[in-house]
Amino acid sequence: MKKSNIKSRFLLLFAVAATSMTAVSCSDYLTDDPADKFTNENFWQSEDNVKTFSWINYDTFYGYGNGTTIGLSFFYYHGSDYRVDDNLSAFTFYQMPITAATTNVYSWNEYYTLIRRCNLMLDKIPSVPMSQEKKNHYIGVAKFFRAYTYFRLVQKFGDVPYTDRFLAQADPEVYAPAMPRAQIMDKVIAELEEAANLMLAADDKNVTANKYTAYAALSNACLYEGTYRKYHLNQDGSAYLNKAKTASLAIMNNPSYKLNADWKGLYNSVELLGNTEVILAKRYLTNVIMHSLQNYTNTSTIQYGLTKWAADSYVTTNGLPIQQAGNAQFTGDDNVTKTFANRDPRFGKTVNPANYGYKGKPFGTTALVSMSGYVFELYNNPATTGPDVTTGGRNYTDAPLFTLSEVYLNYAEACAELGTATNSDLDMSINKVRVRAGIAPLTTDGVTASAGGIQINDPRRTSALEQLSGVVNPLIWEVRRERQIEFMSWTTLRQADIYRWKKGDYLDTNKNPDVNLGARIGTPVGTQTVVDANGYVKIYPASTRTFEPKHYLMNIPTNDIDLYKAQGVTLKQNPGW
Amino acid sequence: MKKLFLISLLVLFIQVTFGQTKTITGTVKSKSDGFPIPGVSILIQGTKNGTTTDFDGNYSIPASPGQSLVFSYMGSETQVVKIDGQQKINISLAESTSKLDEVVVVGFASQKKTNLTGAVASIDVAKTIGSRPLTDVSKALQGTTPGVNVSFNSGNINRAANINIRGAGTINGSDAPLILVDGVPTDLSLINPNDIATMSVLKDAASASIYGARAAFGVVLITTKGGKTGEGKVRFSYSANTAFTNPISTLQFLDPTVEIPGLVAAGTRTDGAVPEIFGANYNTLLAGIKNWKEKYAHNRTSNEMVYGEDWEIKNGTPYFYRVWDANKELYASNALQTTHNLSAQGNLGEKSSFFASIALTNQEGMLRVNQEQRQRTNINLGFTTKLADWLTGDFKVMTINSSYDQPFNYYGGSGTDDTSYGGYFGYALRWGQYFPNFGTYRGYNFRTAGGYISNASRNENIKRNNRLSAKFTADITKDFNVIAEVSNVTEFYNRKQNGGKFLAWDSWSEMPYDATTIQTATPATLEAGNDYVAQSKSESTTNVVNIYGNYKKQLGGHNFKVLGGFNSEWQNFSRNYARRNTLLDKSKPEFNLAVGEQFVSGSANTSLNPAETTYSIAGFFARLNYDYKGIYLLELNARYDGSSKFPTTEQWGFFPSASVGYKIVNEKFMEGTRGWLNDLKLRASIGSIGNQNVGNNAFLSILNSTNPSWVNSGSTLPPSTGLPTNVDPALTWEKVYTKDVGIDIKIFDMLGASFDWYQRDTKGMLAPGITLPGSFGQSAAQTNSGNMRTRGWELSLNFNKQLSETASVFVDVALSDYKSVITKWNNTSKLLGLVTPTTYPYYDGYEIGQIWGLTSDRLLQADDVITNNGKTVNGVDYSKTMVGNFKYGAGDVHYVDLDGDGAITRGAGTADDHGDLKKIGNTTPRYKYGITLGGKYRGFDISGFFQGVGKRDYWAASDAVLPFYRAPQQMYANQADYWTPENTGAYWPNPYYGNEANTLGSGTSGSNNFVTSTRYLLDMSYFRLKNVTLGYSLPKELVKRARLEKVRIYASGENLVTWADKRLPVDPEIDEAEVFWGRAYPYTKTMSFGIELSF
Repeated sequence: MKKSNIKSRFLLLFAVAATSMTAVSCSDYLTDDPADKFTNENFWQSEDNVKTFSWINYDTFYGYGNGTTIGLSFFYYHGSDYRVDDNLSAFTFYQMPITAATTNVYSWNEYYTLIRRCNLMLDKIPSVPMSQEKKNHYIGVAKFFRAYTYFRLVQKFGDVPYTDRFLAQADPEVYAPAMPRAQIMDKVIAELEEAANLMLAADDKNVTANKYTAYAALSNACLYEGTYRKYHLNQDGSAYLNKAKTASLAIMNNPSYKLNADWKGLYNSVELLGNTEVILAKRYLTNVIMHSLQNYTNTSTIQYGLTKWAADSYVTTNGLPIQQAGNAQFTGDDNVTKTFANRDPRFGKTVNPANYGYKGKPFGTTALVSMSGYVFELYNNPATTGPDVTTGGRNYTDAPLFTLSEVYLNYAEACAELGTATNSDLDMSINKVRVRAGIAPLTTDGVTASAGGIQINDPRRTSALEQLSGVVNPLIWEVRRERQIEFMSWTTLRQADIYRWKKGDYLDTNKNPDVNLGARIGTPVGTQTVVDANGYVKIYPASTRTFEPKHYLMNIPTNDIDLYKAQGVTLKQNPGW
Repeated sequence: MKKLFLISLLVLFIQVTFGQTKTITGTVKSKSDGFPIPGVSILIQGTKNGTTTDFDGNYSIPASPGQSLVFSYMGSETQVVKIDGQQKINISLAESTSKLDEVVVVGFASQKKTNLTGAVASIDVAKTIGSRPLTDVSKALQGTTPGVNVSFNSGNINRAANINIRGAGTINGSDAPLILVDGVPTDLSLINPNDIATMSVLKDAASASIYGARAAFGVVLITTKGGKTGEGKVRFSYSANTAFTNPISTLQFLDPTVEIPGLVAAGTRTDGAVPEIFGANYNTLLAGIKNWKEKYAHNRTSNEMVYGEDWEIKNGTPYFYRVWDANKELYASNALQTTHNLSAQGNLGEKSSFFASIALTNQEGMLRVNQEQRQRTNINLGFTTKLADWLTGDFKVMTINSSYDQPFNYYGGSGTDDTSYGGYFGYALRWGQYFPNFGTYRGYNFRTAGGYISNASRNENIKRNNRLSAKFTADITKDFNVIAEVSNVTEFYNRKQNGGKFLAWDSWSEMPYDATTIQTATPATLEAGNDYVAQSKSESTTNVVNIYGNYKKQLGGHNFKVLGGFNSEWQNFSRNYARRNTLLDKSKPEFNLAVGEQFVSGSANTSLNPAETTYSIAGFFARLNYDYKGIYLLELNARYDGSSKFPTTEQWGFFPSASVGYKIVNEKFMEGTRGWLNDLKLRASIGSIGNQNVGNNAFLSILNSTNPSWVNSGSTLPPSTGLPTNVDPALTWEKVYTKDVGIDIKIFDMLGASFDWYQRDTKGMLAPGITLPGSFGQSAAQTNSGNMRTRGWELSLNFNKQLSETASVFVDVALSDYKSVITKWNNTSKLLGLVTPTTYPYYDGYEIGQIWGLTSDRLLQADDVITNNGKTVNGVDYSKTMVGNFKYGAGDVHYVDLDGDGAITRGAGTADDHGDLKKIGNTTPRYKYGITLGGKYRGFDISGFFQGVGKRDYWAASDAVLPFYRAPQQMYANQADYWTPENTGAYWPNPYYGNEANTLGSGTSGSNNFVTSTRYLLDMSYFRLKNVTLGYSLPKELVKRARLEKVRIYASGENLVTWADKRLPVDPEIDEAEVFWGRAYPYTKTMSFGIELSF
């Protein structure tokens, strides 16, 4: 081969080598920061970004659920986290849990994820360039979500791990022992007060958190703490009850909040945006975000039903309990017409007053079958029909999350518990709810309760069931009844209420047989439904549920306990688990 | 590429000869196809003088009479011809049966198989793909090569197989091999099988490490056909195949009159009441069905349902009485598949040659109605030319056009297709044969899976893959060449989802009609939520540049070969998505003809969402091959590799490997064995590779965008982001270390065996190395936290025998096994269950695929003592396995109290304290084997391919397997044998529904009778006749008369016979959990007929 030829080949070789070296020596050749992702280093730069980050926080409010998932709904659904209440009987019989669950009990993980998000926001917001007003607002938003989430953790678990820092995973504080519940609640209350001061009075109507959302949460938390201390710890809860009053008043004194004329509209409206009664609403829009609640209460598969226990709590329109001797408005319950005659109108709006439906005798053309005979209709809206109602994940009625009526009843309950309730207290709170519902208002001397001038004397108030954990005075009794009726389908709210009153016995089918009975249907059609001697539906004839004191608190996830233990730290399990 | 390498190799042997006496000339052709062979080495025996044939197979060599010429060519039998004075010697070289000279493509080069020291398998393309009616190369690899694990979980025509080399590699990300087609990572299912020239598999680190960090779990190297010279003549080949596909191993239904009593029994026992299905009472339904069978069964000719006979509405609830042949209604029969392949190969002038092919593939799916359709066009053009006497150019253009149409998936929701495509099958197979899947009333369907399929528009998927590549080979000196390769591949993917609402009888919900009103009623409008058109388009551009040089040197008996170079690859990928709601006309799913909201993301399937990603890799590699007289072999590899997947400080890694071989057969002292021992070689290799197959941005704290389940006062979901990902600042490469020892033997020129034992350690696997308590609020960061060890062995045997001039037989056996164990994991508590959704239940000693469960030896009978309200069985407390109203009694499952503590428990639920649990099986397929055998006799050829798995267990928590696992909705034929007081020897227990709640604790599943246990563990081993092909090549004389060179006709069948456990209701090859396990896309059996012509 010719020398020159070989030389030119070597030249080519060097050229090629040089080219390849240049390619690689380019310093950023292998540096590929993601084009379409933010990193934690470059994200926190504007109000828009903070707001963007905050949206996921709202996922904590399940409302009527998402798509076909209703697992963690506030409303109606009992589900696997034992959100059992005494008002509704599910299509599966729920026992109270016996053994401790290993992981993620009652949204444990999700709650702590939300807390971590809030901790990060509080870490970052101070250095984000934005107006001080907005900075304060979003700090308030983060504090609201964090405090409210710790409140829910305490409600369910008592003492839990607490941190207000965005921890690195190697931080020893990750395994900090649980903080006593009282301490957490004080932080929760302080933080909600702070949030209420920092937040805007209105941000985006009633669909984002604002000052009044914080007050509503504060009112709930204080009432909870006040009554919990009184009934569970035998302590004086009046400081908290007074705070509950103050927080409630902040909302009650705001003229932009007022009750609607119609109670049912709270639960079946296709639009709650701007509704004056709803402090925070979860909106649903067709094809954007939808739920299945209407579908689940309107298909021919078996439905939840109201228990006899709940049905018997509805007073007659004169405001008197049906059990009260001499209540002439009550005509008995041996048929459906009599049962609903003269009753609190919310009764006939919650369930169908025209007829019963049960296994063996479906109700109407829709062939609805109720566990208890009472056909649930609260979520029906004549304006929504067809597959939009009957298809899972296609419903778009809005869910109320914080409502004015809850604030009113918080206020009334705080006054009643304090023993300071006056008639004017009642008129500015609970009586507004009663009048709107269509039943007689209450009057009181601080202890007793009267309606239409007649002193209420409900024999159920002093029954053996009540004596198990202590009898309350007639006013407290009527305020509690009002909460039960007003929030008939708010399963988690009801459960939290009876737990803080230490009335878990209501769930026990031996101590409270009415919780496993339904409508008085007399002789059932067919053989699938069983009735007791008086003709009441025996909802689960073969099943019993025992409520034990340990159920007032869920178990701490045992995996977390084990993981703490591996680090040499004790995370205490709740008693009885 | 193979050819080019040969040419350069043979330059070595070109010697200037002296003292010529006579010039011998001639042509060397292939005996099998008559093509001239370039590059055949011709050597005068006993000298170093020789030459090679040119592009046209011609040679000339000076030689003296009495000398002998040795004609040798890799892959062919060597011929020796003595010169007796003839001037012209034409030779036909026969293909070698011994394959000792076989050349195997390895990283950036090829090598004689006999000199390999690493674990490399070359796949016989003709035998593997041959005339099998497979359009997807990935599926053809199954069972052919030990250590290459191929699985495909259904007969879905649009789903590629999963390929894995040597078992589990990592628990993080993918352990798929790097698949390179002409040096570029490629989706194998797109390639035209007929274009493939060579396929080899690099299994161990020593062989694969030259490809660096993407090759941690092996490499599959494929080269496509390029130019090949003929006698200036263009040769054409044409092949066509027509195949008919039918489903196999489908779920079988019970007759409703047998099924419903079982459902009633389960419902009655559970609830004390007759259960309902969509509000219909089973007893009423049963009576109606019996009545229908008696009166109307024999005169139904159309799918139109007669009200009052086939169905009726009672109290708003529809009752369906007509019984259908559900599987016949659902599955296509004789789904057609056609392939055409035309190729041309030949010379263009003196210095150039080309290969061109076009292939058309058309495939139908398994849905009878709205049948899926897959079409593919492959065009491949290869062109080789001598640019200068020292420079060869190789150019390739490949273009692939693939489309797949399928009905819109109403069940999967927006944006999902293949992965949950099981939706239609899942629901169609969910309820009994009385469900009117394809029945109509007044022409409208009912709201059933079949109704949805019938009304679905078609989704369109189009993939285009265009590639251009150029390769320049410069022979700098005789022993030194430099090769530069450049490839550019663009891939385009368009997925269009065409939804739409339609009218159908909403039989899920109430139907407030009666016999009169139904006649005029308008059916419900269904699927307003899926009334949209959506499109996702993606495009990627991948560039590959390789520049490397080869140098050879011989010093006495010492042979050196050095390869060194640079490899880089970079890719840009972008995707966008658009969706618009509310179509004006379902049959015109276009954005401009829809009036609803528009979205640019937010689909259920995040793999459709907009994205913009890039990556780049670069590496410098080198290899040294050394041998001493062909006895002692050594290979050293090293790669210094960089990847953009890693943070700046960790971008580069150095990965060396080494392998040695001892070719005993070439030792002097073995000369006595030459008569029968053709090969005996011991091999050993060791090496390490980094693994960069980790997700994008694994090293950055990213805020992934997501939408909340919340809408403000606007009308769309606002965008939001998750928590910044938790990242360990000390994260680095995961490393894979492989050791391999092997032996190759060949005796009597017909029986070969190769055995490998290997151990692969994956160290520092990226995984959440610690489990954080839920109260941390986020899952743990990935750290280099775990080690895994896979040990396995591979055996291949092959037998080839030419029985006579016209007859030959062969047998190939491939057998392999492996087991993967986690050797290091930070889980001191050894919890068996999932701790959080993102952490794995691993611990030191965890065997991948292990199943923990209870032991169950029998059903309880009347004489068992059951007390305490069904909670205590023969004194043993069963309460931990129960849920709801369940009470143990006769006919229920007896669990063995293994630890004798008087209760059925899982102890602390850890590997050390597991109570009555034990390891009852493993889902990893063990003892995989493949057997190919065949032969030729005159014009006939036959081959059979058997494939199977020796052992595999599976716990199927599914209604298709366990009767009434969830709800009393259906019974399949495999579930008919259930316990009753009269049938005490039954396989299945006394019916009870609702057993899916996991009561015993994570690590197990189910409750009551169906806690994970030995009794109902599935045996998934199988033995399958995968393929039989019978061909006949027409006699040459006959063919010649028609001016053709070769004509072969054949018939071929796939999946003809399967031997598996009789209790298995589904196909044993199912390897991944479908949405509803077992109610999945069926496996298929294919019969095909084809013809091959060349002229």
